[in-house]
Amino acid sequence: MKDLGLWQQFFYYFQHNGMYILGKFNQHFLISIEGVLLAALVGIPIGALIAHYRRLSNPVIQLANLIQTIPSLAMLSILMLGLGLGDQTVITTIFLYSLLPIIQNTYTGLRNTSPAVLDASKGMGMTKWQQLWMVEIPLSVSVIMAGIRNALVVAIGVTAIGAFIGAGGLGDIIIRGTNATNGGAIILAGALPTALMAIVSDLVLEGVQKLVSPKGLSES
Amino acid sequence: MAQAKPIVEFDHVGKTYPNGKQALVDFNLKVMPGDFVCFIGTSGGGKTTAMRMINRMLDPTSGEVKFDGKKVADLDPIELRRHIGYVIQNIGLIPHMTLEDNICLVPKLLKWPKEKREARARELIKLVEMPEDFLSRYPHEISGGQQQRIGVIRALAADQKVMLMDEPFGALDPLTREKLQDLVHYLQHDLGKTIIMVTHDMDEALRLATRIVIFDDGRIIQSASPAEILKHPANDFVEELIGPDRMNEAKVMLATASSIMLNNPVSTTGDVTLGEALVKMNNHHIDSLIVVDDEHRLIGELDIGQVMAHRNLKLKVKNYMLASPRSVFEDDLLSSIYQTIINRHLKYMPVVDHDHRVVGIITRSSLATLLCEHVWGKADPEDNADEGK
Ligand SMILES: Nc1ncnc2c1ncn2[C@@H]1O[C@H](COP(=O)(O)OP(=O)(O)OP(=O)(O)O)[C@@H](O)[C@H]1O
Ligand SMILES: [Mg+2]
Repeated sequence: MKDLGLWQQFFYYFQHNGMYILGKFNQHFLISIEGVLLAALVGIPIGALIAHYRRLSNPVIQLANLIQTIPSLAMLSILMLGLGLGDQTVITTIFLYSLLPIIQNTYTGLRNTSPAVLDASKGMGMTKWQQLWMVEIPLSVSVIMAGIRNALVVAIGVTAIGAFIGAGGLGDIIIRGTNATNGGAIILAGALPTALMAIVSDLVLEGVQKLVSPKGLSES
Repeated sequence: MAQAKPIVEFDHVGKTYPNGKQALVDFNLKVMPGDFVCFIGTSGGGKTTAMRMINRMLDPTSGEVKFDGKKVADLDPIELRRHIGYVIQNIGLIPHMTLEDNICLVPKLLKWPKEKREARARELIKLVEMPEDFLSRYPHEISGGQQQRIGVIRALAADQKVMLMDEPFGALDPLTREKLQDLVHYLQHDLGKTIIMVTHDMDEALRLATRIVIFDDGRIIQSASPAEILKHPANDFVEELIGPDRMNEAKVMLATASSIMLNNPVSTTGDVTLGEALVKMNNHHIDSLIVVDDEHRLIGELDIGQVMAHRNLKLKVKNYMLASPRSVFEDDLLSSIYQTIINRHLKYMPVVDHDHRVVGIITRSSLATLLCEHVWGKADPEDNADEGK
């Protein structure tokens, strides 16, 4: 009985605050994706770099690993000291978290290119750049996308917590719910779309991953 | 050929890897245009190392490698590699490119126009007897043997004059391997490509090479034509590499006519009568005679059939013999004469010196005995399963 009440309240809240929730949803998504894209912009070249200068790979990956082990609330708080309240802090946090999966997957993808294929490419007279663009990247794009996918799901979660330092997004609604008495329905109105966003993004990126991975690789 | 310039030349080349391993020691070799050179020898002998220096996949630590008269050290490695075909054991087709794109990779790097590339791809896929619509397939959609065929034609798509191949057929089954050997033989023999191939398969080397270079521990043990290597292996190592069976076969096949002929064949001059000739045949229990002139030069042969056809035993042999018969020189190799005798059903073959003086005779039956004993006596000729031991 009480459950039913909760759901009724939830739908009521949803109907009356639809636009508000949608706005928060968009904001949430943009923050997450911005952090991940920045990380991709930086992480993919770093991954390519350490794939070629393998001596750098250990320190770089270890550092990215270390960042990953910092709990998100702690990371947000520490960065907040420097960057203040607001979404720039959350975006930076996401950026830092996303580096590991993106660097690592780029590195792994590039390193796993078959040595025979690389040897032949080089032996036929490809420059280093041609090898990277024509061979290595196409062959690892699927693995790199998997890293980005991973990062985005984590990012959506981090953004939710980011509301505590004033970044906005669906986390705002959750906080509002925790502050209200009997705010369960409001919490749901924030939490469910967050979960939905994570699941749908993952599915969409899975599709993208399949789309961008070159044809000849789909071993039947 | 003597005045031709080597297309590839190793001049006192040494290679010591950073770990101190001396992979090549004072290596000297000249490869002439149109040669088919096979590198063979112990594992770790430096074959791959030597080959990869030609297209600067590796650089020597001492000495010079020259390509077409120019030091490769002075050439741009990228440009150089685009002009030298490169085939590796693991094939290395690029998996996300269609066969057409794989074949046309170097032409594309060289910025050929699209139509020219497409025409080239069609021409080449025909060369290896694969249907044109395969061009739009991906490497994983064709068999290993087909993949390596594409690997080979990819290496000549830009009309490279020189092709390097590192154990290109090592991973293929014997039948496929044989087909591909035919292909590369055609490329060298008929299209005039210069091919340098690393192999572990002595039969392959003997079959294809115009020159075999035998490696051991970074040094050339012997560098010579297949026949020369079979005839005069430089040392026990080479002999072992060739193996007793092939040595045996070679001994027979590379035997000269004079070493296997019967001496003092029964002969007659042309001035005797058919009657006298008949008596001679009878005395020696033979059915034909070699006819020679005063200086013992071969001028004809007389078969008992010809005598019987005329009956008039007073006639002179020289008017009824078979003139200018077939003969072989005493230094001809058995490998070049046995097929003539066997396939043409000749009963015998006179052996002459270079002044056409008769020195001996090889009979069909003695040849058959020899071939059976030494060549096919030990193993079924179809059976090559015990190779590489
Ligand atoms: N990059 C390297 N660093 C150090 N040593 C190497 C390197 N490449 C090859 N060697 C060594 O140099 C020697 C010659 O190697 P190479 O690959 O030329 O032999 P190979 O004749 O091609 O042998 P195989 O028949 O097994 O292919 C070997 O002892 C090998 O271990
Ligand atoms: Mg080798």
